Amino acid sequence: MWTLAALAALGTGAPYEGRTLVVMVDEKSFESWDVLQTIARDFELAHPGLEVRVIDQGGAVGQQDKSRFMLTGDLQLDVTRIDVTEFGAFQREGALVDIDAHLRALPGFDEANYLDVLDGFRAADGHLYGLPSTFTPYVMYYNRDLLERAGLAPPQAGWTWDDLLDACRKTTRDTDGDGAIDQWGISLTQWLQAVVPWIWQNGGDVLDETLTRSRLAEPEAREAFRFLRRLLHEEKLASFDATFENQYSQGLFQAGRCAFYGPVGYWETYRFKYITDFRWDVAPLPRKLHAATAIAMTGYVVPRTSRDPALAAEFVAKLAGPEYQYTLAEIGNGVPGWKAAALSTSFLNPTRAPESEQVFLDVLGEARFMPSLANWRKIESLCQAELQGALLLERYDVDRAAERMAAKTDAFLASEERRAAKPMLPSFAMEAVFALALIASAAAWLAHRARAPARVYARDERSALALLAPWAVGFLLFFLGPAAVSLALSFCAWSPLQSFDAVRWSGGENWARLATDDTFHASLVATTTYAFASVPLGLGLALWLAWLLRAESTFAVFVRTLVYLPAILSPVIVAATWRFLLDPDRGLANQLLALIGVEGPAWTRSGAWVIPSYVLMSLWGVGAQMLVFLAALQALDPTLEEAARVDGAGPWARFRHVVLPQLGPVLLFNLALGLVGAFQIFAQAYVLTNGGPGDASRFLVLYLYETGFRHLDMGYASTLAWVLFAILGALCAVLVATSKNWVHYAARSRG
Amino acid sequence: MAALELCNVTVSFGEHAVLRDVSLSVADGEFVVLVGPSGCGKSTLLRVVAGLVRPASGEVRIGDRRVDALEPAERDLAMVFQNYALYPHKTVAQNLAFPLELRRVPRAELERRVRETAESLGLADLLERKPGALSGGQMQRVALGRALIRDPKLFLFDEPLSNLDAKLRHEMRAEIARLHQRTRVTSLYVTHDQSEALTLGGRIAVLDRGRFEQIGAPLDVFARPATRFVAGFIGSPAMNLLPGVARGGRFEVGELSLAAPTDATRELVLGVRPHEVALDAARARDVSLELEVTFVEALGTQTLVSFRLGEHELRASLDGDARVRVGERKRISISRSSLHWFDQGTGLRLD
Repeated sequence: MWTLAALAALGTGAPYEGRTLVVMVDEKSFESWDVLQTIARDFELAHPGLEVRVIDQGGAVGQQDKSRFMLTGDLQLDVTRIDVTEFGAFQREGALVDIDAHLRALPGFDEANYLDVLDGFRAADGHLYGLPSTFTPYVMYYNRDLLERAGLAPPQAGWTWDDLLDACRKTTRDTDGDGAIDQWGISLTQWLQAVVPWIWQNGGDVLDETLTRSRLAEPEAREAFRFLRRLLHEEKLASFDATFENQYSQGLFQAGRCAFYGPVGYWETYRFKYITDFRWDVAPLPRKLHAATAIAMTGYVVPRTSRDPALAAEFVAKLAGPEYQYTLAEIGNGVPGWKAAALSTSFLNPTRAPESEQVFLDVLGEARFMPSLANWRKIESLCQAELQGALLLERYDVDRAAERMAAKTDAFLASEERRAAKPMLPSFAMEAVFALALIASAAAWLAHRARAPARVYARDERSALALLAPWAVGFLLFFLGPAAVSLALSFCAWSPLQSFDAVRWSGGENWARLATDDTFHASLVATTTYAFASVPLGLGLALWLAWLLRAESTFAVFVRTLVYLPAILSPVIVAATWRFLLDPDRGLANQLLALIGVEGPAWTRSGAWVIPSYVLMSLWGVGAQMLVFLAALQALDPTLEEAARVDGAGPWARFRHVVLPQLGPVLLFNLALGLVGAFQIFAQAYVLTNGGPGDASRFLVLYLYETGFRHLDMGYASTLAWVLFAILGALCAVLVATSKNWVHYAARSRG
Repeated sequence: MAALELCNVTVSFGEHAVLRDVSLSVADGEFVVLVGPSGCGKSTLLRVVAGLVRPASGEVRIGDRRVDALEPAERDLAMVFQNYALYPHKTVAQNLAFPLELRRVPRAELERRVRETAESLGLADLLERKPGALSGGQMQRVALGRALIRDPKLFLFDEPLSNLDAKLRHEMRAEIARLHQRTRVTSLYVTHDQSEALTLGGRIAVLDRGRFEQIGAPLDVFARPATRFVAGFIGSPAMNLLPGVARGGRFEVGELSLAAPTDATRELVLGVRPHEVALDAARARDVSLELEVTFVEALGTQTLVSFRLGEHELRASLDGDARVRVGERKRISISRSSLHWFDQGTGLRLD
């Protein structure tokens, strides 16, 4: 260190020597990656000695989970990009650095250089915690050709709900005369952020001004829901799109089969630029009492794990400034927050559809952010299932759904308030729990050792301990300690974005919540159904295949290899494969069913079929179990079967009375492991359905993960983990207890 | 009960012919032992009869039925396996009852037969045990019981005693013999132990490399082995087989020279059972000469002495303690009537 200081003092060393900035703002696959690298190199040149390490934010599936993990793990991260709906959570949890002063100290910094969206990253005290990347207001896309054919003019600013209704009536038709509508007025987007603008336009809101009470049950909101239902069901002008979880229903618009598509953001222009067979454009959302729309936005922030917030803030300004923003605008990533870039031809590109890009800037005056809450995501997920019912199901009591949404939200907000009032635990509490677990296990071992008979073979014992030590250390540090902490956390409230200094004691509240948590009940049902369907079916199939393939022929070996292959694939790849197979429209499964004249179900997009879909997927992976059965079958004494043949047993009797009983131990092994595995299903559901439709596939581990890392409620997530542990423990105990009746362990003969 | 007939049975596993054109008839109630070295095809032959192996060609008849296309279950026979093949998850009673259950024998009848069979084999106290808790001899009895209980037309035994220790083997051998005397069920018994074959069999069939070498009563086979192979295989200690050439009416091997059974020049093998070689030269013997002792094994009731005979070895089995030392030269004598002659090329007996 002193040499560096000395060098710096001599004026020959680089002033930023040894300092590093870790930046994670985009995905490697993103088109702007190279420009990002250039900006990083420029920044290094301007700060001699500094290293800017740009790391990949991960795929779309990750949903910015990577930055959460890095924060939770206290890894250095100086600049990252978050969604504006998460800002409330990050800022309130103390996960972000207040860079207001650093920004304002930068030469030439002026809020006027940005479009009027800075409030998205402004805390209650007026301080800026970040700067916008790109954003988009929700607008309405329309098919100009379809409207003209119906004799309609393109919608202009100030058009109303009635105008929309009228236009939809005129454009909805059955073009081929088969009695089914194939051209729709509108393809409606249905997630909460896209529904909220309708409520705002009607004078309602999601929450009241104090952000403590839901307004979704109020007449303004209900009327908005009813208007959407009118489009969807009463007049059947909107496409009834069952793909709620698979939120983007842009397919219809892209195919030229609907006049309007929205409310939706700028990101669709990126997809629609390939449309060549009709003209399309964008318009502001129609108004009712007010003109209103919502903004989706991401921005650059400095997490608390930054080692150098001042420098990080400077890099934030760089990313939000012209060097990067013009590039983002040209790529078509969204509306750049940098005003000059947004007003330049980089964004308002006359050679590129849509013609009226200006609309995205024009509606800014009436655009709002979602409420800035610590737990907006949780509220979204609480409302999701009800919203889906309220909008998509033909028969549904909207008023009751609205009331339930409001009640759930209110209850949640109230519980959040109570939690904030809970007493803080001393800062060393979790460390103490960790240490206590280690001490307790050491004490238990010593006690056991003291009770054990005198040891004759001290040397043997020493080498046994030496051999066990590496495993024991791993077990204690990475399993027992964390398990004890998680048990303690299940009685606490804690956000993983915070350090262990900020754990609140909530007593049995998490445990009591299990009784009233509908999502938990749904996930319990989903998980149990899945496990009790997939495990017996899987075992049966595995055993059957093993029985068929136990011969030592080349063909059997080849087929065995094929059957085993999926078992070594990552569940993510398996899920991706099945996504194609089970696609309701273009999937192989439904195409094959169509060949035999059966109309296939919507598989993962149908509440009734999503669990069977996962069971089907699990059956694809029975190779591992088959292998265990195969090994067991091949280890069987063939003379037993021969004896049974001579005794007069047919194939089924031989299997039932001779082979199956001998497989008892292996059956128990596969059953126990299968149940444990099935109850922990996660990756497939995370990739494929993300819990939907509704909560139909919100398996326990997925719900646990969402609770812990998306809704930042590690206490309740720990409770869920222990519930899972208890369920599996109980199941295994029952299995082992009953197995005495059906598992026979072959004893060695005593000749 | 029924007779068993095998006609021209051939079995091949891939390229390898295990049984070549084998024929055998077993009369009703007869006890025939198949004996031969490992790999000679005797177990395969038994499995052909059982129906566990399909012959490539040939016919198998049990009684007046041709059975080679039938499943084992339809052949009405019972088999006892070398490793007993008891169902490990079933109790002794369940093991015994299994063949009857498969035949849907009524419960009361079934229980009665299990009880009777168990009693006749001394298993009555073991009925509730599982095979894992039985000794080898007990397991063997259960296996016998499971075969007996069905009252089959034919019993097949596949080396049933080879996993038992020597003492138990003798007991069980006697038990099987008694069993056959009592039931008179036609039986085919496979063993590689020639002494077992000699004591058990009504007839023995010696099998080598997939062919019968000789079929006959045990003592006939012992006294007049039909081939050089049988001569070497049957009898313990094994017969001395000394290859040499007969020329001008004399046969010479090492120092031994004696009248040949033929005047022609011919390659022959001279067979001499060890117990036919005597030390005392007092009585007039047809063949007598002095040889060097190379090895002595004292077995208590007898002593095995090896002599050097040219490049061959001649073994003698002498009664009691013969008090012979290695290196000594001793005069031995062999009765001419006890000599066996075989053709070296075909292996067939000359007379």
